[in-house]
Amino acid sequence: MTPLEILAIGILFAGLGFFVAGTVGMLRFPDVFSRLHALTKADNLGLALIALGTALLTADTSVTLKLMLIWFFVVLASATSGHLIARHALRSGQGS
Amino acid sequence: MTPATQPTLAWRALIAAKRFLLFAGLWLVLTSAALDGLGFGLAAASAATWLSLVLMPPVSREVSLLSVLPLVPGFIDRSIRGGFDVAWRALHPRLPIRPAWYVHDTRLPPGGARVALGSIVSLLPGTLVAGSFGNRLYVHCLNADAGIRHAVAAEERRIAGTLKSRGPGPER
Repeated sequence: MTPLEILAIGILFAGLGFFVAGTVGMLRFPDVFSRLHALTKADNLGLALIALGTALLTADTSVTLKLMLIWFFVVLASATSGHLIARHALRSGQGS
Repeated sequence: MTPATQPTLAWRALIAAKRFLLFAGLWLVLTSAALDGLGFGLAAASAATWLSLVLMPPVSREVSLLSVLPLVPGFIDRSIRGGFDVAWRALHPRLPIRPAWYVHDTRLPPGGARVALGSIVSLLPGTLVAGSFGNRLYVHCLNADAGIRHAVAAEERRIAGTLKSRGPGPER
């Protein structure tokens, strides 16, 4: 294995760690809003690391660009849906 | 910045051209610039441009991509710190969280500036904007902490600063 591959695999595992932490947070945190913290923040960072690790393993620029697009759209969708869920929960009185 | 005027035809055409280039670029990325797909790409990018103009008509104070660029390093830095913070709390055996609400009265004008504040505060470690009613921003804190008030106020000042540098903004 080249040093680059070792670095990439390390980054991939770090990304996995954040996904695990986000999922554990979703299971352990007490309410809707706290769970959203776990899902939006930990998973975004996890996905960024996985995209970065995968990008290091490919020499193909178009694959790298696609990975960046995937990350961008997932972050956009997660921020938007997270905000919608929070707003709905707040209005339906689960906020207290 | 010139005050909001009736959008001219040339200006609208420029916006349409910019959006078309964006969609065409996306197509090239998705297809790895395959030659036999260019015809479909042209049609798809044109249709997407038309749809975007219908769904999101150009407004005079469109946020330019370049004005957002200086904010990117801060965005990345906050995402990383926010991710570490919540991951650590989720995995800690004693679950060190103390959820609480903080209501922030914002002085930013409605629209893009407030959306920006909401998005940035949601990225900060431990805070999440759940919604706004009038001028009140409802911030959910994963761990009740006196520093949150100052952090939100600091972000607000920063955004107000970029507004001012772009022309006469509303001041109160």
